[in-house]
Amino acid sequence: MNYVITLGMIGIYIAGLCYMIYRNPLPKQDFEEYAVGGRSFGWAFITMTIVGTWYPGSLYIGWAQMGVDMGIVNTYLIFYTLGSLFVLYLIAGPLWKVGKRYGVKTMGQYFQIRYNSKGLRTLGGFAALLIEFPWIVTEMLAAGYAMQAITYGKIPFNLGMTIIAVIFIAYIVFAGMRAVIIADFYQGWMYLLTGLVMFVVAAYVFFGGFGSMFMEVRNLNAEFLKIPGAAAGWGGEAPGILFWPSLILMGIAGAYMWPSLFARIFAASSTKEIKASSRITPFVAVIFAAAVMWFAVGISARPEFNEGDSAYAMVNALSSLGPVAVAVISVLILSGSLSMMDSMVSSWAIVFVNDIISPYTKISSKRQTNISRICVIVLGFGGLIVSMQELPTIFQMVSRMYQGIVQFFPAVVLGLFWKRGNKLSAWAATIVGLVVTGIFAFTQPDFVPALNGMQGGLLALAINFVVYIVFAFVAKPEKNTEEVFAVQRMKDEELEAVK
Amino acid sequence: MEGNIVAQVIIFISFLISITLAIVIGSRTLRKPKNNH
Repeated sequence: MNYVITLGMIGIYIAGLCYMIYRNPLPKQDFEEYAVGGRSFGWAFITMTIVGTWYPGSLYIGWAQMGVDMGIVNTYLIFYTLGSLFVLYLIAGPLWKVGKRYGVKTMGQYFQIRYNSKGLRTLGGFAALLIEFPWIVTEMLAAGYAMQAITYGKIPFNLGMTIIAVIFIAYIVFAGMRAVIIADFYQGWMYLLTGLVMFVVAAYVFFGGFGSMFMEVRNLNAEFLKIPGAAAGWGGEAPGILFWPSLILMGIAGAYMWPSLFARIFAASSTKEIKASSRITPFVAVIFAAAVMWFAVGISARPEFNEGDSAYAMVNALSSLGPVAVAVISVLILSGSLSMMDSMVSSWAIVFVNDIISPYTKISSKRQTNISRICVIVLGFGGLIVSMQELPTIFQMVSRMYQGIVQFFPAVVLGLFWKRGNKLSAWAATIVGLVVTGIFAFTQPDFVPALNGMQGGLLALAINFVVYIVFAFVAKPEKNTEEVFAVQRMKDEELEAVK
Repeated sequence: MEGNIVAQVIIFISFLISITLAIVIGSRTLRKPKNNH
C-alpha cells in the first residue's frame, strides 16, 4: 500500500512535468530561442525559475546534514540567498539591456562586449564551466538517493541516477532553455507550497512548533545555536570566527556568476519583469530556506533519526510521517536535483558553443543549436559517470567551487558600474584571483586557520578587486565603453526600437 | 495508511494544489501574446 501511494504521487508529479514541457515546444529552431528562451519570460516564471534553480536537491541532504551535525551555522544559506538577490537586483537591469542590444547569452560574451576581448570571453566560459561541473555530482547523488527512497530500495543508487539523467537530458535536447525554465517553474511551486507546508506541519508534529523546537535544541546542547556551531560536528575543532561571514560573503558575490544563474537574467522579457521578480523572490525564497534549515537544526535533538549517516537524518524524520511524506520529500529532492542539473547542463552546453566554439568559427544558428544538444548529452552523461566515483562530502565540494566562481565578480560588477575598468584590469584581476584560489584549493581548500577561519577564496577576491582597481588606472578604457554604458542607460522601449 | 494521517492529508492536498496551480498559471502566462510566440 505504502509503495502504491508513494509511486502514484511520483507518477502524478512526472506526468504533470511532461505535460507542461510537451505543450510548450520551441517556437522556432534557432540558437536565441534555444539558449535564452527567446528572452520572453514574465516575472512569475523568472521568480520560480530562480527559486527552482537556487535550491538544490542536496538541500535536504548535504545542508540538512550541516544543521544536524553543527547546528545553526547552516543558516548562512538564508543570509547569502538574501544578499545574492540584492546583487541580482543591482546587476540584472544593466546586464539585461546589454544582452538585449548585443544578443548576449553568457558571461563570457558580456566580457567580450564590455572589455573587447575574445580571449576573455573564452577564459570566462571555460573556467566557469570547469568550476561549476562538480555541482552536477552533488545533485546526481541526491537524485540517486531519492530514487532509492521512493522505491523503498528496489531501484539501486546508480540505476536511479541514470534514470534521472536520461529524463532531464531528453527534455533539454527537446526544447533547450525553454524546457528548463518551464520545468523550474513547475518545480518552484512544489518547493514553495508543498515543501513549505510539509516543513511547518513536521515542526508542529515533532516539536509543537518552531519555538519549542529551538528550546528543545537549546536544552540538549546550546552549542548548536551558536556560530560556528558544535565543535564535535567539525571533527573536534571548529574553524575561527571569520569562517561563517566568509561563507556568506562568498555566496553573495558568487551566486549570480554561475553560468546557470547568469543566463536566467537574459531569459526575462524586460527589465520590468526582472525587477518585479526581485521584489517577490527575497520573501518567498528566504521563508522557504528558513523553514528547511531550522527544521534540520531541530532534528539534531532527535538522535533516533540520526543513526548511521547524518546526511539522511532529515529524510528519515520526514519519512516517519508516512508514505505521503516519503513521496513529497522524494519529489522535493528529485525536483531540486532536476531543476539544478537541467539548468547547469543546458547552460554549460550553451557556454561551450557560445564562448568556446562560436568566437573562432562561423556556424549557423541551427548548427549552434545542434552542437549544444550534443554537448548536453556528453556533459550530462559525463557528470553521471563522475558521480559514480568516490568523492568528498557535498558541503566541501560546494564551498570549494564557490571560492572559484566568485573570482568573476569584480570583472562583472565593476565592469557594469565603473567606466575605467578595461581589458587589462579584467584579465589581470581574474587571472590573479583564480591563481590565488587555485593555490588555496590545493593547500587549505576549506578554510585558513591562520586567517581566523576565513576562506582562501575570499582573500583571493580581495586581491582580485585591488588588482582590478590598480590596472584600471594603468591602462585606458576600451573605445566602445561609452557605447556600452549608453546602452545600459537606455529604456526597454528604446532598445526595442534599435532592434 | 501508516504514519500521521492528518499531517499526510494536509501535505497531500498542498501537493495537488501546487501541481494544479503550476499547470494552470504556467499555461496562461505562456500563452500571453506579449511573449511574442
